Amino acid sequence: MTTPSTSSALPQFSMDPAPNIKCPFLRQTFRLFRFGVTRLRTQGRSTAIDVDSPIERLPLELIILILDYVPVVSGASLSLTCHSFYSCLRNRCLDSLKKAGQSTTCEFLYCLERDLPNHVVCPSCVQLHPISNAKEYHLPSSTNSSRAWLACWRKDLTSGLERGTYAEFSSTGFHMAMKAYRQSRENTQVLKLLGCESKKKFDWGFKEQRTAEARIQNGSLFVREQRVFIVPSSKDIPLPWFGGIIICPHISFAAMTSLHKYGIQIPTATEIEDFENKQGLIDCNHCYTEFQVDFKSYGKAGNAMFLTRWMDLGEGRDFNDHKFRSRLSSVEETSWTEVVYQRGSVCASFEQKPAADFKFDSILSYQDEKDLTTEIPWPWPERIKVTLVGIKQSYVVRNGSLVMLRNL
Amino acid sequence: MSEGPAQTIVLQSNDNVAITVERKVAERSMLIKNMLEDLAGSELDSAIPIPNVNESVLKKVIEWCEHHKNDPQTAADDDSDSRKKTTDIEEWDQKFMQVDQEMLFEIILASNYLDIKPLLDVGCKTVANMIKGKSPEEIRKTFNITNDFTPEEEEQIRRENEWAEDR
Repeated sequence: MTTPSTSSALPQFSMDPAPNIKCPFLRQTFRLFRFGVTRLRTQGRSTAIDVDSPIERLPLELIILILDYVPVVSGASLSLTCHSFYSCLRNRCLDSLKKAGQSTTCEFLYCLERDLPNHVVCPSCVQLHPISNAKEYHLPSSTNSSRAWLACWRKDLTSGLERGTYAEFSSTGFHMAMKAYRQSRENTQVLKLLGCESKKKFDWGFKEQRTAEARIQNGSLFVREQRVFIVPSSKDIPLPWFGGIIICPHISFAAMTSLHKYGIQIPTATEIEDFENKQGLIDCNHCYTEFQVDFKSYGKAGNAMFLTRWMDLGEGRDFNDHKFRSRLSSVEETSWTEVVYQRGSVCASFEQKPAADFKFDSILSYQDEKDLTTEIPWPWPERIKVTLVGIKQSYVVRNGSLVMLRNL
Repeated sequence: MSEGPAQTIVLQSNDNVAITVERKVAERSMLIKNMLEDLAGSELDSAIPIPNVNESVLKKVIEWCEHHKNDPQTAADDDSDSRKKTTDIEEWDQKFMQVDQEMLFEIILASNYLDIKPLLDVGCKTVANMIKGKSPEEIRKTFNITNDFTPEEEEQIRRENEWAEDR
């Protein structure tokens, strides 16, 4: 009944099953002929592919009929399943995808991403970025100076992500780390990109050391950053004279002395030896951030302030996830929403122990501590004195929250 | 012209099984309907051969025609927009289409050949619903399609379409 075909080319026919043939005999013959060709093509395909997939037995015209009921994205997916579908559907399906615009392309890429363990969709670039080459797509580590700026880099900058996290963080790196984790693939390299080992900074009269680390706990990304400032022990207030502190998009201290304005306890040089931090962790009410400010005397080497903060970035499946979005400084204050989480839970998740058991000076390695306590190279500027006198407290720390005095 | 309720015709499947069908039911097939019209007046004394449709598929198709024999006939050229896009399938048809893929695609081929547009539509919609929202690999699994692309070819396709960078 059927004749095996040697050609795998697909005959194209009109979709009308019965063209306007008046003569009944001819019409009948036409139908039988058509059906014969269908089967003929079937034979050609089946032998070429050597598998039994019933859908591949359909003639192209019927596949196209089915495509009329399928969204552009799924048509594009079908065209990528095998060579024969690709060769006969690519023009039709992939062109419609291109014409459908960026959001449809993105939707398609998210589909494709499910098949690709090594890629993540970048909604800003409307492209897939390979995890194996994370270093080149993570702005803080990208070494390829010749490449044009990626749309995702610009997005991170304009959305103020660095302000809500820290310099080594990027949305792409975050997304990659989470995908690699979910695929149970090696992710230590990507996680490493999202942190930094001790970075040292010198300024006139004080030094700063900074470390950052990212960890995945229970399917969410947690990060911890610690900044340690050391000032000469001769200074009355153990605060640098210059700089400010950003905790998250919702809490920031324009000057170091603003810590006092917000009710954070600061010991004087004479009190520091016996100082005990009674305030503990402070939570942000608008994002999943906790921080604490501690002080420690290193004797003659100086007095240090430790600023440690922990953040919960969420699962990284969707950039609209509140845990991530609430970190973006570009979100207007009028759209800030209250978040509720157990005090100390962010720190405890990162540390994998109760927040109360965290020792602020335990992160410093022996070498870090040694470097911290070497002489401060540049002198404190003359005539500059840090004082808390005259700074009015407008907030107090109450049960781990900054509360405006006016509201009490 | 006798329009008796018992008016039947005999269809013969490609595996030589004769199936007696009510004429009205068989006329859901435009192919058979047109043929019967063309033969009007002459005596139909033998079975109508339906080449390439075997007994089980033909019986299944007749079952559908039986259930839908009183549906209003759609105009022959009622193609285009109204018919398309929506993949809603009425409950009876959904149950009818709960068959293995072998049978599903045979029904589609047979309804195309026999020119039963509404059944062809139901078949196409059923397949469309199986494709919707799936990734290429998920579609391959659903329809047992072998991926004959090499990883390099897949990468090249991604580059050519600018879904990934050329690197």
